[in-house]
Amino acid sequence: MSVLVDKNTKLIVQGMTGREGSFHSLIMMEYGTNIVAGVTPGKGGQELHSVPIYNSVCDAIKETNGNASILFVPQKFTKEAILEAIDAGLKLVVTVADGVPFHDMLFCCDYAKKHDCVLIGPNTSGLISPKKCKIGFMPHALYKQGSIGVMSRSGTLSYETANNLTKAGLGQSTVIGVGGDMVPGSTFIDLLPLYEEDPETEAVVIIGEIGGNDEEMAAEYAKNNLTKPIIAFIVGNTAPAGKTMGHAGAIISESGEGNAEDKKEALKEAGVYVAEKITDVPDLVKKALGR
Amino acid sequence: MKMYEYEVKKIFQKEGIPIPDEHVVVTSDEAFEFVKNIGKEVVIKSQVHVGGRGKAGGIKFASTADEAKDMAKELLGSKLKGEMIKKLLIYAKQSIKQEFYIGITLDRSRKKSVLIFSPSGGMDIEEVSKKYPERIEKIYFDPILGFQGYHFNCILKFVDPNLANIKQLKKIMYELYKIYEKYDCMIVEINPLALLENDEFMAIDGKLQMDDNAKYRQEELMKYWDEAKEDPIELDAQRAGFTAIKMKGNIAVISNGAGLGMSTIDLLQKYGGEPASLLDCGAANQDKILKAIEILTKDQNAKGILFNIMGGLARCDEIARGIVRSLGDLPKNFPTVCRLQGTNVEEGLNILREKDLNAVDNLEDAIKKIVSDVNEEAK
Repeated sequence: MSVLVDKNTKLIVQGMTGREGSFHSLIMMEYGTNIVAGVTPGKGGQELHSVPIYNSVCDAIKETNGNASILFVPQKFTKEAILEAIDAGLKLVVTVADGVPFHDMLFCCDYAKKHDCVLIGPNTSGLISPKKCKIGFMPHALYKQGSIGVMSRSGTLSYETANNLTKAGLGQSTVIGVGGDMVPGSTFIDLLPLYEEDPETEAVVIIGEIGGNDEEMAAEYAKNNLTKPIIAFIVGNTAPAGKTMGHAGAIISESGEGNAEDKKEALKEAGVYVAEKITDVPDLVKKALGR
Repeated sequence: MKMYEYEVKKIFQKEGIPIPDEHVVVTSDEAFEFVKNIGKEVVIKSQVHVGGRGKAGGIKFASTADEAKDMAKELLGSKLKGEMIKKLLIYAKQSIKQEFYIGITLDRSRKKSVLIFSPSGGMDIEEVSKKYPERIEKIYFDPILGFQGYHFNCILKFVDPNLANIKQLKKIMYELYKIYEKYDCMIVEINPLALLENDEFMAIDGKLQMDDNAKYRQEELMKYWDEAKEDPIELDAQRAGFTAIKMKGNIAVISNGAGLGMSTIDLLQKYGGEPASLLDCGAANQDKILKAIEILTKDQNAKGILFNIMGGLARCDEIARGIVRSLGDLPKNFPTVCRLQGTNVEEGLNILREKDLNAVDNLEDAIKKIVSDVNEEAK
């Protein structure tokens, strides 16, 4: 078991024949991800890395029984590619593109929800269950199989966290980059129940940041519904209000909404272990697990 | 991306929302000419991006052309909440019976677009919702359905349904939703939406902010993008394909990834340092690193530079080569500290150490070092 992905994941890569798609498909395959098909309209019938390419997601599923997809598709075509994947019946869709307009994502999120599809991203490095399956482009050498779940809005900070956990002898069950955008396909609160249900996961680390109130909602949910310990770290303490801090979603409103202090307070109140420095996370995990 | 009131109202007019007959002026003589022709009391509004213009003295009323000229002279070139006034919008003062608020924006926590309507227009809507929550109606949209006729019925409790132009109000609501979608708005609002003495509805003021992610498909709005308003360092970075944020301190920071960057400046400030800027270099090659360093060190306030690289897609050795190549161009006695971790870290550290650069794999050590070096140089 693990969250969302495991050895049974049969991955379809939308946009596989592009530069990024081709490069990362090969790395994912070397890691052990079972890529069953690629999709590029007009290139059906070809092969890449010995994987068959199809014109549409529909064709790919029919021939290969693929059950998840990752999109290496530019922002302009992201909406259509997500809708195609959901419409074809996939229940896990990961989109890595940066800079997708949020109006497109509102539409896709709503459509995904109505079809019980878990949408991860955009603006994410993907998700990984170490030793089982990698969907994305994170530096997988830093990860180790284990029992700690990790969710992060930032890609690099999820690498950093995985690295610190691994060095401290704490392996990971599934690490998910929820992405840094205003309207992510899945937020912490959508994914927390999956970690709670997963027998392999013992504790969950949340790497949040300023902007929005996903962390506050996660705190509220954790207080009322979760038995597993949560450890959190929030970045953006020193960000000025009204400035977008690199991630479209990382912005404190002029009225102060979305600031780091409020998030930490809400998390502490809900009984979450809050780290002051990212390097403190592994010790807090051990403390939470009584080790 | 923010727009000026007069630009927003041009969009309103184009899309069928009535606005006053108005004119933009950049000199006091133009103001005189325009007001002379109107021959009525006028409103003179400073065109700035900061909010709360009225209270700050940025909106004035003039009865004669001479008065208008004097006021324009006073406003043009002066600063309103730190922003220079370069343009004024002038129109005849309208006779208003009632003011409404209508706005559409994103509710991030619900992942839905929401229309907010209030019969208490002309005020700050956040203030209204705190003081008089009963005077606010929120309508959440299904993105597949969009605006439907029945949505209008939700606001009828705030408006007399027997008004002569009730259908005009419904049309304005519909057009505003169309603008919200068509122009990729983060927010679009009319405040106030006035019911005039002649029973017509009119947008007296407007606000529109576009989602920056949609720049590529909003050519029309991009014409209004005011480059002069952007910080020159942020603009240079943007042109070179980076995201940068200018701040007030003296240590330039280059990092890969927005989250890593934010956590770097958090920690920097914890150890007593102040960031001059933060630049996200992504998975840059050496040429791009060279460019990034060039952009940040042009900043007169920057007295040192800190790198925090978590190699993934980005390769530490490649970034180290870029840093080494920039050495000749750096100002004299310019402290440089690099923290590298991840892909090809050992090779990267070696490249830097061969040139006697401060290179470590621990972030806290790097931060302590740059703070003390910059303070030392300042003495």
